[in-house]
Amino acid sequence: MRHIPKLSFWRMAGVAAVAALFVAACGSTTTTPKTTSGGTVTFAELPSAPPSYIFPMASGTYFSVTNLSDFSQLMYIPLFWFGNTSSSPVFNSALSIGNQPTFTDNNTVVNITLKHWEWSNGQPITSRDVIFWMNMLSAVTAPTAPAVGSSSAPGPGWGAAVPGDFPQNVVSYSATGTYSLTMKLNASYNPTWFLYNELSQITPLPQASWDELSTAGPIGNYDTSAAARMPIPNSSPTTYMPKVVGTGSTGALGVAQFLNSQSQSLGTYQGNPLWQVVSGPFVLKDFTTAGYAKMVPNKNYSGSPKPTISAFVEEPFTTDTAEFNALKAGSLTIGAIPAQDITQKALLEKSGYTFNPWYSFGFTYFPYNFTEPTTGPIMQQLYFRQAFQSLVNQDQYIKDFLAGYGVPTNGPVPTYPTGNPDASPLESNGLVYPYSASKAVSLLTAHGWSVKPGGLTTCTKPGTAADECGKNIASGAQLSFRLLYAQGSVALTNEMEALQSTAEQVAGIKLTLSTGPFQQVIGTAFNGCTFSTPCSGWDMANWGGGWVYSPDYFPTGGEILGTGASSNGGDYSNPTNDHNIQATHTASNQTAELKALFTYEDYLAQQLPVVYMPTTPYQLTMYKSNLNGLTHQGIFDELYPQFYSFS
Amino acid sequence: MSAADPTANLPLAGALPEGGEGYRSGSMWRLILAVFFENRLAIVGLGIIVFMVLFSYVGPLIYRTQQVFNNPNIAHLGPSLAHPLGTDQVGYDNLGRLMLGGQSSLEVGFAAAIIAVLVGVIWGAVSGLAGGIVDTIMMRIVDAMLAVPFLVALILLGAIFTTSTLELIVVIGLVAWLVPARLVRGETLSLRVREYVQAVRVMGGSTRRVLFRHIIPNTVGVIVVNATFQVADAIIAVATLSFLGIGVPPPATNWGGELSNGLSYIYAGYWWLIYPAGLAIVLTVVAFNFVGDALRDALEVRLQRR
Repeated sequence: MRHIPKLSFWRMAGVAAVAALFVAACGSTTTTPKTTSGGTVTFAELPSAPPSYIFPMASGTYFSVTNLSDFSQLMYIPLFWFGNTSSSPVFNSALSIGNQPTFTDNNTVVNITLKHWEWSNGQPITSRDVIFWMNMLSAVTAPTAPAVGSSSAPGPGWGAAVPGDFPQNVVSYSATGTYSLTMKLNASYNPTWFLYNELSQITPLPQASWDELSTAGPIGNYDTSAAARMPIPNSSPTTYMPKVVGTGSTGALGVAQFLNSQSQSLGTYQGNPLWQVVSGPFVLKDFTTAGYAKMVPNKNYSGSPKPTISAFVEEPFTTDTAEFNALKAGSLTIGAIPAQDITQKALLEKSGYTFNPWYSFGFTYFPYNFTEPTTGPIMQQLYFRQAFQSLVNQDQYIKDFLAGYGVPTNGPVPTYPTGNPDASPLESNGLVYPYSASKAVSLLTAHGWSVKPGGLTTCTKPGTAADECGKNIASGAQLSFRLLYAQGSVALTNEMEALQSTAEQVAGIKLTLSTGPFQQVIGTAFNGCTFSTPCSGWDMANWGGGWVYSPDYFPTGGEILGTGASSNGGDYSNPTNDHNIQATHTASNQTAELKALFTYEDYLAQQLPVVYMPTTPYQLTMYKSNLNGLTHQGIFDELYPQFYSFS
Repeated sequence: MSAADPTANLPLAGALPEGGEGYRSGSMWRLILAVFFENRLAIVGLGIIVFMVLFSYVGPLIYRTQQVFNNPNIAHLGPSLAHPLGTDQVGYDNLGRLMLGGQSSLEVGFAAAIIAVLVGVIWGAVSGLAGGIVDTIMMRIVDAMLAVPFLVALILLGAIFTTSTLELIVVIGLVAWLVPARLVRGETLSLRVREYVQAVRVMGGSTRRVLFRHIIPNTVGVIVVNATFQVADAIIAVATLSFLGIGVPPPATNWGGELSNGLSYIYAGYWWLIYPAGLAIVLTVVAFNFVGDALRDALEVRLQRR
C-alpha cells in the first residue's frame, strides 16, 4: 500500500520535527547518567480525579485520561501505540503489539499482523484476543443493543464510538492465522485516518481469561455471538453491526456487561483475578477505592524496554494544594506544581526536583448541553455562542490564573507542538473571538435581547427573524445557566468565578456555579444526552480539561464533535460539520487530507460548538531529578514508567 | 439602692445570721446578670460578638466595596490604603470580603443554632415527659444519629443539597439538634416528678400545658447555655464545610471559604488571605464560648451565691 508510508512519513516528519525543535529549544538534552534498577516511583494523580475504571472498553462516563492513559493502558496496551518519549504524536511500532497494518484493494481491506507477545500468564496474545475486542465493541456500539445498566452504574459502552464509524464501517473481520487477521471495510478510507483514529481503538483482551458471563461461570466463546454481521438498516453508505448483539447476561453484550460491572466494583480490584492477566508492562498489586494504585512490573511483559523500577504507585489527592504539600514534603517522585504556587519552583528545584511542563496534543473546552429543553434553544444560537465566547478572557486567565503557562484556544485542532502542521492558519494566527465585552452586548442586543448588565438579560423579541431571539426561545426567556465544574483546582475555580462575574456584570448572563469531583462532572457531561433523550440537569459542564486526541490521534474531531458521538457531550449536531469531518476520512492524498482538515477546523473555529478555554499543559510536572526517563512526557497524556529508572 | 446596683447580691454587713450567710434577695434576672458580668471573659466575649456583628453588618455601609463582580486585574494586591487587607485571588477587596463572609457565617451560626435548639428542646422534652416506649424509640433515634460522625453527616448532607446560605442553615441545624435533645430530655426526666408538675396533673392540666408551661420554661438555663455553644459550633461547621468546598457558591462567601481560598496561596506569601479570616473565626467562636461559660455560671443555681 503506497499511501500509508507517505502519509505516515508526512505526519512523522512534520509533527515530529516541530516537536523535536520544541524539545531542543527547551534545552532538555542531558548526558546519560548511571542508572540502578529497583525503587518505587510515586506519581500524583490529578486532584479529585482518581482512577475509577480499569476495563479498557470504557463508556463515555469513564472515558478519561485518568482511567485510560494513566492507568488502564499501563496494564492493557492498545494494538497500535501512538506517541513516544520524544513527545511526537505519531504511530509507534516498537511499543505496539501489532505490526504496522497494510491496506490493500484500494484501501478497502486492512491486513493486521501481531508480534508474538504474551499475556502475563504466559498465554500468547493472538488474533482471537483482537477478535474478542471487536466482538464486544461491535455489540456495545450496535444501534440495536438493548439498554443495560442503570444511571448509577451505567452499562458497557465505548467513549470513542461514532455512529457509522468504527466498527460499523467494517463489513467483516476474521482471523487469518494465529497472529493475523483481516478487515474488510465498507468504503475506501484515508489510511492515515483509519490507522490513527479507527484501528487505534483496538486493545487486545485476554479472551481465554475474560470471556465469561459471571464470576461463577465457565470461560467460553460467548462473544462470538456478535461475529456474524449484517447491514444497519437505512444506513448510507451501508454500515454494519452484529446480527446477534446479546443481552445484559448473554452473548457479547453479556460479556461486556460482566466486565463492565467488575470494573465498576472498585473495592474488588485488588483481589480480582481478571485484572491480573495483563499485556502491558505493569500489573495491579494494590488498589483502594480512594484511588491509590500500586503497580508492579509484569514479569512476562513482551515489549521493550522492560520495567526496571520495582513499583509504580499512583497517589490520589482531593485538591492541588494537598498534592503540592506532598510534593513539598518530598514524598512524590512525580508531581505537579499548581499554577498558584509557581513561585515555589526555584525552591523545589533546589530541593532536588526538575521542572518539566507536560504538554498535550489536545485542546481545552467545555460543552454546552444543547439538549436541555429550556436553555438548549438559546445555546443552539450561533450569536449566543459568539457572545458567550467573547466574554471568555483567555489572555487574562493565562496571565492571572495559569502563571503564563497556556495558549488561547481558537479551535479544535491543537496549536501545540508549535508549528503543528495540522493547525490551520486561522487557528494559528490568533483568536477568532477574542475577549470583547462590547461585542457580546451588541450581539445579544441585535438579536432581540434586553441586556441588563449586572442583572438578568431577557428575550424581548421572540421569533426567528435575523433580529429576533431565535427558534423555540419565548418572550421573557432569561440568560440563566447552571455551570458544573470540577473541584480541586484553584486555577479552574478562579477561571469559573471570573467568567461568572464577567458574564453577569457585562451582559446580564447569570451563571450558577456548582462543583463536583472530576468523575461526577464527566459522568454528567457524557451520560448520553441526545435530542431524543435530552438531559435537563445541566447547562454547561467543565471537567477542567478538554480533549487529548487519543484514540483519535489524527485530530479530525469526529469522536467529540460528530453528531451522535459518545464523547460529544451536549450533543452538538451540525450537518456541515459532519460533512467536513467525513471529508477528512476519505481524502485520497496528503494535499486533500490537509485541505479537508483545515476546512473542518476553520468552520468550528467560527461555529464555536463548545466554549474554548485556554489550553494549558496537562500539568506543570515536577519530578525527582534522579529519575531518568521522564525528560519527555507523553503528548497524549500517556505514561511510560517502563522507561523510568533512578540514578 | 438602684435596681442595677452591683452590690445587690453581696452579703449583708455585720454579724452573720443564724444558719449561715445571708443575701439580699433580688429578681432572678438581676441575679443572673450580676453573676454574668462578674466574669470578665464574658464581657470580652460579648464585646467581640457585638464588634463582629457591627463589623459584618454596619461595616459594609461605611466601607463600600464591590463584592458581586470580581476584577482579576487587581488580584493579589498586598495591603495598602486602597485595600487595607489587600485583594484576593480574583480581585475582591479582602476587608470587604471579610465583612460579607461574616454576615453569612453569623447568619448561619445563629439560625442553625435556633433550629437545633428548637428541634432539640421539643424532641427532648416530649421524649422525657412521655417516657416508656416513646422515650425509648425517640432516644434511640437520637443515639443512632449521634453515632454518625458529625463531619461525615455534614458532608453527606452538604453534597446532597445545592448549597446556599439557607440550605447550610438547614443542613447544620439538622445535625446539631441531637445534643440539646439529650440535654433537655435529661432535665425533663428530673422535672416531671417534681411536686408542681404532679400538682398540675392532679388538677387536670393537659400534657401540652405541662410541657410548655412547666417543663420547657424550667429547662431554659440549659437551653440558653447550650444555644451559645451551638452558635459557636455552627460557625465552625459552616467554616468546615466551606473549607472542604461544600460552602456557598460565589460570589457569596463566608469565613471558612475565605480561609480555604487563602490557604491555596500559603506558599505565595499572601498572608492577608489567611490570617484575617482565621482570626475572625477563632475570635468569634471563642467569644461565644466565653459567653456560654459565663451564662452557665449565671444560670446554674448551685454556682450562684444567694
